[in-house]
Amino acid sequence: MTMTPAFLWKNVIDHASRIILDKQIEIEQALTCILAGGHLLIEDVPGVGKTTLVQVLAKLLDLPYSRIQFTSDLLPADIIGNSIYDPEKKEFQFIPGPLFAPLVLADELNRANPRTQSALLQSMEEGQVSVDRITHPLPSPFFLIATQNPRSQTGTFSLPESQLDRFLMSFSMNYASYQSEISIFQGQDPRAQLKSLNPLVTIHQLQESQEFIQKIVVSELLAKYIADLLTFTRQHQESFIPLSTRTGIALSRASKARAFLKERQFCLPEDVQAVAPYVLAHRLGGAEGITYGKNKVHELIKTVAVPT
Amino acid sequence: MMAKSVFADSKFAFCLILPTFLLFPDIPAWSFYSSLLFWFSRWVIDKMEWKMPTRFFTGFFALVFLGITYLTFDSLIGREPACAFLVVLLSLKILEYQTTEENGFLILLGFYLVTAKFLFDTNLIWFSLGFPTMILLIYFLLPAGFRQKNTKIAGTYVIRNILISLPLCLFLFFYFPRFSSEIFHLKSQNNKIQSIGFSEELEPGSVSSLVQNDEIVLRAEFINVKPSINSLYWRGLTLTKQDGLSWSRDPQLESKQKRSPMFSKADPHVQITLEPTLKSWIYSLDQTTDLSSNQINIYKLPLGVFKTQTMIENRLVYHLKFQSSSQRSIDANDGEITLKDTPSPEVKKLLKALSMNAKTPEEIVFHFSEFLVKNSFQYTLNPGDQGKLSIDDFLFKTKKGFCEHFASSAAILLNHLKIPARVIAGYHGGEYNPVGQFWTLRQKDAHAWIEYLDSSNHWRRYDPTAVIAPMRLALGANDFARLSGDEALALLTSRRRDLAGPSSFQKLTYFFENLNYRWNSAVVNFDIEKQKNLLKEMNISLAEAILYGITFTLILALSMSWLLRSRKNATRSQRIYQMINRHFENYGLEKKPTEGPEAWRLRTCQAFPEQSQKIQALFDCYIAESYGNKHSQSNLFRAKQLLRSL
Repeated sequence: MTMTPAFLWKNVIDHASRIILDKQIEIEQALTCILAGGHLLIEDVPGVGKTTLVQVLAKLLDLPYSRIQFTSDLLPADIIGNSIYDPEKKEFQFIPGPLFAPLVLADELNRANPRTQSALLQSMEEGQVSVDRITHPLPSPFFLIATQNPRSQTGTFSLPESQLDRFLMSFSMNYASYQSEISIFQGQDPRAQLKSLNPLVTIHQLQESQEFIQKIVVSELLAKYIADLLTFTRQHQESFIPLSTRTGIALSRASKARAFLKERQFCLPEDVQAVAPYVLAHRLGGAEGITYGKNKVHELIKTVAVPT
Repeated sequence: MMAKSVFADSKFAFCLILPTFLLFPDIPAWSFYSSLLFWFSRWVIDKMEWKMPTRFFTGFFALVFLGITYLTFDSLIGREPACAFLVVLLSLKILEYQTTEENGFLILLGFYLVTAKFLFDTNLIWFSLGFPTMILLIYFLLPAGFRQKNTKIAGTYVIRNILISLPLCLFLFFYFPRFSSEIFHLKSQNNKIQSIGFSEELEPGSVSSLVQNDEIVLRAEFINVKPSINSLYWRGLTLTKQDGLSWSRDPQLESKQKRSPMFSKADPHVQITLEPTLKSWIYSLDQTTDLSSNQINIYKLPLGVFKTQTMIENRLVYHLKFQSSSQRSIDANDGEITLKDTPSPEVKKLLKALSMNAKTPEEIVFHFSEFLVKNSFQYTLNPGDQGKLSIDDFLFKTKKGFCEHFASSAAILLNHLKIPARVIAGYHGGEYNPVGQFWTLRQKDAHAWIEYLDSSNHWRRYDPTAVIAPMRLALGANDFARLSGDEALALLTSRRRDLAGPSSFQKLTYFFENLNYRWNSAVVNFDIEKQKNLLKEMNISLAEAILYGITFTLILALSMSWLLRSRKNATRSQRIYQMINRHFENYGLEKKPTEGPEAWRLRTCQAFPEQSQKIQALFDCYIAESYGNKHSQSNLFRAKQLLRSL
């Protein structure tokens, strides 16, 4: 049986949403983010399924996964790794930290001090880590899913805007609906279900899909639309945080991934509009948080005309 | 698949059956009733879920009715046979109706029939019924799914389209050249308008039979002249041949000398709109000097008769000038009167009495009036058995009658006394419409009076009815019939005719009467003369009008080409999108500026669910061009093709 690449991924979404109820959109967006080769930021209170989501994805995509629990006293070396002197070889040997895994869950990222945060974010951007003037490439693929507690919680160091820009997408999980919660309480424990899950996609297939997405057409008209969106925020700085070119690239990448999931070979303005709340929320929200940013994105989408 | 019923959409069926009812007065009974029968059969078939008749069956019936049409009219060409056949054809189509794809054909037939109605009748009433039917038919041209889901938008769409077409309609109405040529004159093959009113003969009962008839004969609008009701004698026929109490016209006398119409058209006193009479004579006032019409030639015959060469089949507008009121005609003796009977002894005795002590014809006439009053002659609307009433019976036995009895016997008596006297048949008075300031004459205003040669050898009008029933003439037929004797007298003596004022119902009647009159004179009778006048009033010569017309067309053409050019400047993808958006804008669906093509496509598909496949394909053309990087001229062509098929 031949399966289209998009079908493969729909299957993943299907399976994941059977375990994590009422979170289909979030699962879809997380996958979009992974397919676009970007990092994901999830902001929410503890206990709404952030970790489960990551675990399910890791299992279904057959990605080795490591988890870093951030605390205020965590040091950069704790995540990147250390050079330890090997007396036999008479040289420093690099022992990779937990960051060296294809899928990394950085839990409660904003509880770490800025120094640790920035060490992590730098490696995210460059895909490599430099220790003692030696560059160590991170595994490929490499995805980082960071969660952060809402600003209202105590003991947090908020991420600066420049750092936030490194995340391709962000969303908050929100509580499951009343009905879904009833189903959750009746059903099996999601974590127990995890064990029975089998991988659906190989790393090879994931890389194939990513290559495919690279070829998806972004027409001039669509590029204009993205440019129009960015320009608008720059022209209305009194009410919008101006968006960077990197943001534009992010929008285009995420749109391509969505078009791929929709089995199209080209992007439509609808793709941009669909991913924009996730790509732009943390960028436009700034210090106000993702929820505020999401409203701003809606405002932007409802104002900027689709070029014809 | 189950055949669809036309009654499933009851409003649609209703608006399709309307034209049939509109045409009811104009088509033969067989056509109307058999079409109703077919409609009904279809309804029964749907109700009982019977088998549908085959196409062979309906086709056979169509042929049969084509044959019947031919047999009825001896021809298949012309509005009557065409309409009679089309009405049946529409009902047969209803009988075999299966899918909504046939709607277009049904609506087309409906359009034909409603339009055909205007060939029969241009009355305001028919217009006000036909026009909404037309609007309904336009409404049903819209796709069913769209109509049912967006009734309001569909309604505004239709109304907007009609409003958009209005300027062009008005422009064409005023400036499209009216040809008075016969090409545009459709000959009626079915003289369904019965010739009501006078025939060529006036006999006892011929006027009184019209008393109940409210049909309009003519409307007269006086310009700068205020006539009194007493002077409004509308003469039609001059009758010179007597037989008993009957009088008829003498065609030989009329054809003796025909005077060409060299009437002046300037400053008329009265504008008269004559309803089709299917006769050829024209009603004029006493002492008419000029009488002319832009529509046809009118000739003046001896005996003060005006005639056209052909029957008056369409509403005729003509103008006349007359001399200020005097009972004397401007015409001298111009004909002989033929009496058939010789006077009976009793009549001879009366003749002797009348001519006693009388030197002039005027005195004799006065004596006759005295005789009528002394012998208490009665004016009655019901003169009883008219059978073979002789002059003796009337003068000495019944002593009651209608105007024709009095006029006829007066003329007979005067002629016996060697005073030439002739009977004039026409109308008197009429009803004044204060709203439109015109007079309406109805068949019930029919009247007969006489003219005799007076001492100066001129024809003089004498109306014996005025002696017997002065109120009939002072009030007009309308009030006279309405009021009892005492009331009429009270109304007349107190001179409250003007003060009494019309009732509100009457006011309404006047209003609609006026509306109808203006409609006829301003819209239906807008002819080439009026067109020329309009141009004259605007100080435009015909040459200038043509020049303006050309300029107008040029400007239109240039702006069109400019529009097309600006469209050429647009990219292909923009042109496709503009085409799509314009198409849906027509249906009240507008693309939001922030809406992407997918969302927009979804909305249009929801509005037109039965066309969603085509709409999908249409948007695919745009998306391929704008977002798929599949640039090709074929996208534009395909989009055009799809838009046409929507």
